[in-house]
Amino acid sequence: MNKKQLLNICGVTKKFNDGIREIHALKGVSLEIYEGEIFGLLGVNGAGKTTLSSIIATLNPPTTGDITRNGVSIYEDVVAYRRMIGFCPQKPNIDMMLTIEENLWFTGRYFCMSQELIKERVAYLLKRFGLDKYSGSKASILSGGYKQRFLLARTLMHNPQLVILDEPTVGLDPHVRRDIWEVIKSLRNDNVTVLLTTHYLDEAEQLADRVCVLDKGVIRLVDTPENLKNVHGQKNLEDVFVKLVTDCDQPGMC
Amino acid sequence: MMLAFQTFGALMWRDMAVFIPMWKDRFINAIIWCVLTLLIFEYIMPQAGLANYAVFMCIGTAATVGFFEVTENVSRFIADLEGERSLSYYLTLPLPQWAVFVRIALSNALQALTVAGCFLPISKLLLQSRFPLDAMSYGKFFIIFTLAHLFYGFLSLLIAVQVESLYTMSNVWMRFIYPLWWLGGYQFSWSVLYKVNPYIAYVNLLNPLVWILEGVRASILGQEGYLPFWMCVAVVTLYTAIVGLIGIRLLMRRLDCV
Repeated sequence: MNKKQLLNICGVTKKFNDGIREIHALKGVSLEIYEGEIFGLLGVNGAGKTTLSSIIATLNPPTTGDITRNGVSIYEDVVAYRRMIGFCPQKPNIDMMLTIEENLWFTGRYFCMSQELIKERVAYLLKRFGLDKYSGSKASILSGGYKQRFLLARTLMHNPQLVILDEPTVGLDPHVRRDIWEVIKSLRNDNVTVLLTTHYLDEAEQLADRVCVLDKGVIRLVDTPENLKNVHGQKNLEDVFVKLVTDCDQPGMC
Repeated sequence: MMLAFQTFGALMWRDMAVFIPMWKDRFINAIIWCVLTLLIFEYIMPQAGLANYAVFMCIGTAATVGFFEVTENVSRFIADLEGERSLSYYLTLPLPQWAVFVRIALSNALQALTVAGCFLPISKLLLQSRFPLDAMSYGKFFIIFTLAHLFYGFLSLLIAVQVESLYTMSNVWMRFIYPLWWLGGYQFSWSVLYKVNPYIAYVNLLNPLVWILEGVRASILGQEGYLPFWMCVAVVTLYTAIVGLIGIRLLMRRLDCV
């Protein structure tokens, strides 16, 4: 695996105020993401996965800490950074006023792609994700699975270097999940870096080169799925995860 | 920077592509409003002793129709935040996040302008020689009319910050739109209010609609009887800048932007 660092996340914290109390969603998260890897971000609901992926996607800022690329903060030139990322959020944020094809076409325009390239990419992605039969339809008629396929297609439209997928298969039928897994695997072959947020451990085990377990805003560990299974003497990642979370729930263990 | 401009242009293009199919409906609405205004103030009100009032009211309607679009703009914005949240996609596009809000304001302004711009030609068509345009300065009209709609566009952002959910949308109407419009001089000029009560008239100068209506009327009917045109331009520009800056700043804070 290519070990060239793509992003360095240094001491990122995030505090929210929900009107009643202050919530510390992330408590000093530091990690490195390498070029061409599939990096799995695991954790139970409320662990801080979506918060971290939203910060890496520059949707929201960190409270403290920084994210650097080639030693330079991404916030120095956030526009250039956004051109190299593709963000697929957990909740479909599709432009319902446009058709599927128009959505993709405008995405190409937003990323300043040429007309020829847009045409080529739209045709390819519609076919690749089985969306061609819905190309002239508004996104509102799509089922959950097709909406997710569309979101992935939109994320990949401009050939991003870093793809951030926040729970891309949540609530999908098994065959759709498998199909999306194939897409994610194919990204690795194209040397695209993938940050995959998920709470499906089989998904992370199947896809991720390295996984990071996030628990209550703190990183518990970062390693390859194989190493984790060996070190913790477990058969699969799910058992490792359960052991870690159970251990951490006991006083003085984490 | 150039690429961010291109992205901005593509977003504006998207907004207009979505708006154009709806324009016909909005144009029909504009005709209905215009015809009703003329019918009442040209044919009914003179029977009640209020003559030569239709032109004055038509100009007031043209200047404030965009103001009523503010409610729709805010509703659309809040509905998106509560529903699909497509805004969160635009906020990750390769342009500064504040530019996404500027684009929303400009699109609102442009859309309202294309509808409101039909009012005067329709009024002229219906009233013919009873709507004299001898004193009209087309250049001045273009300036104040465009500025007014920019103000409405940015005002939508500022009001959207104050609205927590669609359930509180009626507050927008009763607390912002209605008082500003009712006291803004839609039915009377500032000089008339001054004759009634100078103190209230001076306080009313804080209402940006007063300057918009006075400026638009001065550009069409001539300067006499209205506030100085260029002062209206300066004040509306200032209000637009203030409302825009505060609105974008508060929205960025509310949505936790970078």
